[in-house]
Amino acid sequence: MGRDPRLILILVALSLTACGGPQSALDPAGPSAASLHRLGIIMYVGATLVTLLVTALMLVPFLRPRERSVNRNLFLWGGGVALPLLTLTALVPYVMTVGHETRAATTPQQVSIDVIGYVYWWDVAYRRPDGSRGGAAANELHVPVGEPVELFLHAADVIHSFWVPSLAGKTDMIPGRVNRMVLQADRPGVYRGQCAEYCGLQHALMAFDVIAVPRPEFDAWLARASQPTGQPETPELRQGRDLFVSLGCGACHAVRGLSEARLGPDLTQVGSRRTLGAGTVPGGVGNIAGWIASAQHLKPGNAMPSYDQLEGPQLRALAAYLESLK
Amino acid sequence: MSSLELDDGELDDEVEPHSRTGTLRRLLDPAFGHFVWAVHFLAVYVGAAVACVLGLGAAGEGTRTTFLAVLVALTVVATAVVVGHAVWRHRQYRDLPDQRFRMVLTIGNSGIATVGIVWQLFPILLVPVCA
Amino acid sequence: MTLTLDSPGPQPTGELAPRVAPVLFPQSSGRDGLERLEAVWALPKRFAFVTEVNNTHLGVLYIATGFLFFLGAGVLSLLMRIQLAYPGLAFLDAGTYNQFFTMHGTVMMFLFAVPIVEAFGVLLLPALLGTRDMPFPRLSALGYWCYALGGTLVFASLFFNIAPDGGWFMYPPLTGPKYSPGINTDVWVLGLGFVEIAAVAAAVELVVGILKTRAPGMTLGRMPILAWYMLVTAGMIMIGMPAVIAADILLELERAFGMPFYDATKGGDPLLWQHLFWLFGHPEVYIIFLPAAGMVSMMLPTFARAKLVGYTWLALAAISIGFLSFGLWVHHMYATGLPVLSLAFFSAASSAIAIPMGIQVFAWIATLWDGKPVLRVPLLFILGFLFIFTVGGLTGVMVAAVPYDWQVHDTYFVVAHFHYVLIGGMVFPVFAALYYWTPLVTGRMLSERLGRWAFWLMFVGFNAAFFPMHITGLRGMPRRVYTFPDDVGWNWLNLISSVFSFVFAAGVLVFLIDFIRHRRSGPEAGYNPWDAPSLEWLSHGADYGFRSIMPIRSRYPVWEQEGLKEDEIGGRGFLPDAPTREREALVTGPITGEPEQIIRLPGPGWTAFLAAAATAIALAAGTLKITAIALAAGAVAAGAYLYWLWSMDRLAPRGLADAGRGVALPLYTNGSRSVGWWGMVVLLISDAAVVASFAFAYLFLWTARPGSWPPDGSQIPGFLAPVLLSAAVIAAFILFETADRMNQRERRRDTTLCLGASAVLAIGAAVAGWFWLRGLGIDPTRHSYGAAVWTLVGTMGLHLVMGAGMALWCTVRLHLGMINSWRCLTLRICLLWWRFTAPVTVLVLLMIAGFPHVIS
Repeated sequence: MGRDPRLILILVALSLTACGGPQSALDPAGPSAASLHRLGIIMYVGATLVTLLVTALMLVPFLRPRERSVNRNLFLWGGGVALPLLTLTALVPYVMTVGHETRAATTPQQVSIDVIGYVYWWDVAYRRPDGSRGGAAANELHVPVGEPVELFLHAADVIHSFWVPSLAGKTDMIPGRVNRMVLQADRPGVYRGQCAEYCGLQHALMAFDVIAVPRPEFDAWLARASQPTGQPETPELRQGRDLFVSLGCGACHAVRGLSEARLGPDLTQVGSRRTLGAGTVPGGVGNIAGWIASAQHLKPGNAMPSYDQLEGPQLRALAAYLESLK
Repeated sequence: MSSLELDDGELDDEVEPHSRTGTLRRLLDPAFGHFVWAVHFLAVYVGAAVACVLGLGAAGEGTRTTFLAVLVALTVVATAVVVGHAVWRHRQYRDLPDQRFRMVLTIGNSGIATVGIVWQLFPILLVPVCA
Repeated sequence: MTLTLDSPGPQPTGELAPRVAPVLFPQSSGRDGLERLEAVWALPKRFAFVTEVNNTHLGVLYIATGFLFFLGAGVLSLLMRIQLAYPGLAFLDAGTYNQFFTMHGTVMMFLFAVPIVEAFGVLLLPALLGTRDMPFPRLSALGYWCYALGGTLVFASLFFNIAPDGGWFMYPPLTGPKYSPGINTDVWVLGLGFVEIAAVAAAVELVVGILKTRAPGMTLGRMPILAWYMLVTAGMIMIGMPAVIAADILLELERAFGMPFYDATKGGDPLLWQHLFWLFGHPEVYIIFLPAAGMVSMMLPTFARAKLVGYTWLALAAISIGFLSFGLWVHHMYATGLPVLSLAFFSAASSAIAIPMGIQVFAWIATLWDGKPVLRVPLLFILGFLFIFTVGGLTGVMVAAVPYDWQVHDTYFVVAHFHYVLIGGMVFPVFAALYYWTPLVTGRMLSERLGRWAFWLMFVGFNAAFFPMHITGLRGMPRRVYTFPDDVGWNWLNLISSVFSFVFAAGVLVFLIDFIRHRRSGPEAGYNPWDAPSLEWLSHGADYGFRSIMPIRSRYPVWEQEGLKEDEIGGRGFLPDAPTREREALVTGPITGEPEQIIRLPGPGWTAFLAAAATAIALAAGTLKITAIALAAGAVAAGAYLYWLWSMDRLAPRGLADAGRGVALPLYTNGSRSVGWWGMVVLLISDAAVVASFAFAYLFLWTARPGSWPPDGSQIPGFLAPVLLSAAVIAAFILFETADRMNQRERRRDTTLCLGASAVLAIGAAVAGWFWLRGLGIDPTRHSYGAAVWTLVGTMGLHLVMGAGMALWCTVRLHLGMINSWRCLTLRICLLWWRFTAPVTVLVLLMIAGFPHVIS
């Protein structure tokens, strides 16, 4: 038993140092995550001290048997009542003042995004100043660095939960309700998020990226996302576009200027996405082809059928066309 | 606090005089403080939830302050009731071990319930309404 | 109503006894008395053991069954840990994994944790309270067999690939008819149904048993501390279980009949489920923890060689935890986007529970300091419990902090937290209890050496497997994922957890080996092998428990009451005999523990087993939609229940019977002295909680969809019909009251008339209520408003019909001479039903009619 306090100390120390990773609450990159992390550290230290105290107290009688009877009041009033009462009377008011950033007010100049959870992917739509649906994306949120971004969280089918640990805590997406939260990234970078409420078969494969870039870059990106895609330039790409139409891809997917359906992810800029299938495989033309041919193998149970009847050249053309959408 | 201590084991055989109060009520009396805590807790929680549904979030500063004042007043009243009941029980105390045991239970539970009630002041005073 | 023959002390109550009363059934403390006692309490031979209803016997079966479920669900967790050992493994596919984690949680919570801690109560309490058995043994038997048969069916669903897969808290809409059309979810509801029956049955038995069947002289302040913990636990089950029963009923109504409680497209709200589920689900954790803490408090004095420091403190801590735990349910809903003020109320309440928790931990430590502790295996497990539970409690304070929980909610941090709380707070104490109390049951000791191996393997395995999960969670890994990518930084942490989970399992295996071994070669335990202070060690071995029931004058009778063992063996206590050739027990006053009555308990019989088996088959067949079998089994079950009810309230001679020690007691009581009255009160409290949950659903759905109410196009209810309905209900109630008065005066004709009129009015009101809602155009499937109104009114209608049934039941018994002015417990208990039903029905009608007017 003696080595366990030390084990705890080592592990606590580890947890505070080895905290990297693209999805770590221990490596905060935004004001909300930072204040929660600060609260966490206070509580880790306090908890470690109490654990050490209790462990030591319970081992003492075995190391040094006593003759006198115990001071009951010290244990019951001191340890049982005073210790939790005093520490928590200090901690609880502090806790009450932490984390209000995620419910803060924002100005109309700032970015507002509707994020809608579907089984098992994320629809992302930027609100125009008039509130209508502007540029759209899927499984990727582009945000300007250093600005609070307002999110409206919806669910299309079952409950999901929106969570980017490096930036802020999670907020559920509940059918019939719209939850609002404010998110801010202080450093440019890619922050991974993942659905945190069990939502069915492929809950594990429902991730997304938050890509924080400087404001001008963000504006440029949003402008591209709001424009129709251009005409394909090579015969292969044109064949790919025709296949997109003839296979009925547009029945589910939107490609701005070509189709408007929203049953599946918006593909307007799918060529530039870091991942496919909400974090299932990395992006790129090869994986696009692989996904089209065997989506049910890569992520069984998702809404996309496997188009395994396509000939090689057809598949390549379709993938190349999609990869050209950036 | 010496009167609150009950020496384990030193119980005698005396039977307490029969009370006219119903057995069920006498059994539940030690938890009186917690019943008040439960009523207070539901009152502030449901009160806040319903007030937000009815549009307190959009109401003016004055309305909100009044609402908070009501919650604080409720908390004060609840605390007074619990403490008053405990003091009353303490005065009723007769020197029979089993009665004393139940009195200590009542007072101890009331103490914990009081903390539970008073701590509700932290959210009431520190957290914005309907955010 | 104690009547003493040679008056050793002051008369406690009531009318004075005649000095020489004709006493029925004289008790013998000699050889012949012992023979009768043995014959009456003997365990039925061979397969007839299923007819046994004795709680002590059932407790052993209960614990064994619970342990088997623990092993089964443990194997599932090991398979899951293999899948998670390395990123991207395909050892289990997504569907299987989801079934496994759902079943792991469901089985561990509902089929292992709750039943096994209740089982320890069922096994130990009769002996600890100094009685031969608790008042409703058949009810315990029904609970056990429902649980064992039903639980097996639910577990077996894994082998047919129809196991539930929506997570153990089954959030709709994922588990609603649209996204879970298969029967997997119904299997979960079915499983919970059995557990609810078993839990409520055990709760009734425990509450009434603890309050009414203690040894004479055992006042509230002298009860063994476990009795306090179990009393609080049973009380929590009474209030908490109904919330989840209500949630379940609403879910099944939505799945089977399309009543949209949780369907947001029709005015329902998924959060309604979360409120109701966690209103039960959070207290559930304490329902599991408190009995374990009570067992720790029982074992500690034995090994510390000192009395508990702060018995009163522990009792009040248990009571406080019982209450405060109901103020924490939103604890699990911090991320749902509710207003932060609402969340903060729960955060503050969650923190308040740290005080009674602190009191307990420091009282236990002080007990160790007070004595000269002997480090045997059970104490080792208790120390392990103290350490692990402290860590779990402290991470509990962390997750109670709303903003912090936004990060760790639904991650591996929480997985680590609740395993620290549950394995630390419950599994370690249960293992301590298994080592401690096994000699009581088998008569042999488990091995000290293997016990130490088991402990260290479990302790090291547990900490090394679960502590890293805190970090895994903080580094972003959500729970309930069947796989994870290899570039996020979770690989090593998961591998460590997986490896050490097998070390933990090895510890459990060592215990199993030891257990199998000890039946043959374990040393004989003898009398009171640990030199414990509590009563259960007196009753060692025999089916009848105690040779005679000893009066109790201490909290630590075996240590402090001189000559206790000799007097008990010598038959110098109460009831040393079974002169009626039936099982007997003493009923005592709930507060003072004075003897009030001798009750005769049911012996072995097929009723409970048959009722349980038929219920299990009916529910399972209903879930699988095999209607013919479901109906047939349902009919058998109904028959068994009716026979059971009919056989209660038996005829007892009117005179006083000998209780031993010169005390004569009645064999029959009416009203609030009888155990039946207390049983009904407990049931009605549970029933009230179900009705309150439905009322909450109505009001909550309004807050979720404020605006027009009713929103489904139906008329706003007027007041005329509710007033008339209320008048009918109140009249039916008053008639029932009058029937009781008339029966007191032996006016049988008037009694019959009143009962008949009451039944007619009740049925009339129920039917009229149905027409009233139909007339208003309220449709239960169009909108959640209609669903909520129909559910509430329907529930009260069902109560009225039951009330009418009771009136008829009483009429029949009246005319068969089974109810008269003296023997009227049945009538009084039915009257309790009406005293609850009438006011609640009026309140419900008032709400349905009044609320839409208030808000418009």
